[in-house]
Parts: sequence; structure tokens; C-alpha cells
Amino acid sequence: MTALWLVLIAMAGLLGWGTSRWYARRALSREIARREAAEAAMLQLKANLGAGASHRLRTPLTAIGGFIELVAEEEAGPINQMQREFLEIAAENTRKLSVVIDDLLGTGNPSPAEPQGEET
Amino acid sequence: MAKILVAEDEAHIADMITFKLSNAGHRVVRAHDGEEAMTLAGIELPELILLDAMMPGLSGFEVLRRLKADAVLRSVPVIMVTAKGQERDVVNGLREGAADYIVKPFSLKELAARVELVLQRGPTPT
Repeated sequence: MTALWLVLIAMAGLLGWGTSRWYARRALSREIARREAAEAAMLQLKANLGAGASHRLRTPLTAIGGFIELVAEEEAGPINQMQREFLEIAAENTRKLSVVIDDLLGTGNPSPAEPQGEET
Repeated sequence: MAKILVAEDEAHIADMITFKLSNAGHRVVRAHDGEEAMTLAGIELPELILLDAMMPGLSGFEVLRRLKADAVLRSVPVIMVTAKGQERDVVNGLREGAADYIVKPFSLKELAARVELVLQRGPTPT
């Protein structure tokens, strides 16, 4: 009789241990899935912020560089030698700023004119 | 001389592109957002569309999709204007029928050269 009780107690213990282990594994799987989803959302947010920041920084830079070019090319009227030199300095610094933005945003990819690898 | 639709929400960028293309002898029609771009494309029937990728409301990519789904406008060549960091989207745009793309900050000389090249190629085969 005592042996039977001992067997029953052991079986109940094993069942409890198995159940708690199953719950622990399920909780772990859910936690992994939750973290993966959070990581994916963070990457997407980072990509969106990068694209937005890139657009907001490069748009005024394009306008600055474009108007410098129009004046330097005398499309808006003749300029003298000193004005040309000053515009070249302004244009050079615009290009430097573009490189800084590339470095900051990690977008120093090749332009369409340069060779590019195949998209995967 | 060609009629070119410039769809760009940034007024200064649109101003400088308009100035450059007008100096090159083209007639420029301007749209300030994607909806207006679609409307003006249908009314003006331009020979080329310069399309900014990031515009409020209807994005440039969405405008491109709608143009390419339109029986009349699908042959109008489109040059996408985008910021660096969006190249993957632009590659998708090229797959969806854009004739070319240019990345901000761009040189106006390069833009004008690309415009001439695309105009020389003529309407996009459908």
C-alpha cells in the first residue's frame, strides 16, 4: 500500500515537472518571438528615419548646389573671376557637406553613374 | 524643345530645375504633389516626367505605378528624383517602368544630360 502511494506521488511529481517545463518552454518561445518582432520593428523604424533624414538633409543641399551651379555657369548672367572663385569654394564645401551626410547616415552608396552590384 | 512635367514639392528645387530646363529650351509644367502630377499628366500629356520620390500624399512611386497602369500615359518616360539611401526603392521603380533616376544632391548638368538622353530615346515601349 505504501509502495503504491509512493508510485502515485512520484507520478504526480513527474507530471508537475513536465507541465511546468512545457509552460517554461512556451514562455521562452513567446519571449523569443516578441524580441524578434521588436528587433524587426526597430530596424524598420531606423530605415524609415534614415530615409526621412536623408531626404530632409539632401533636399536643401541640392538647392544650394544647384543655384551655385546656375550662377557659376553664368546661366543667370555674367560673373567676374573673383565671384567665380568664391562660388567654386562654396561648391567645394557643399560637396564636403554631402560626404559628411553620407558618413553620418551611412548612405555612401555608389551613385547611378558608378558601378553597382546586383540587388539580391 | 519638349514639354516636361516636373513633380516636386520643394519649391526651390522645382525653381532651379525649371530654370535649367527652360534655359535648355524646354517648356516646363509644374506639379506640387502627386495628385496634381497625375492630373497635369492627363491634361498636358508631357513628353517626359521628372518625378520626386518623396512627396506628401501620393508618393512618386505611387504616381509611377498609376502612370504605368494608365493606357494613355504609360508610354511617357519618367525620371525618378530621389535622396540617397532610397536606392532599393528606386531599383523597384526601374523595374516598374521608370526610364532613369537621379539621386539628390545632383548636378544640374547631369540632370539636363539625363533628360536629353531620355528624350532622345522617345516614348517608353508599351
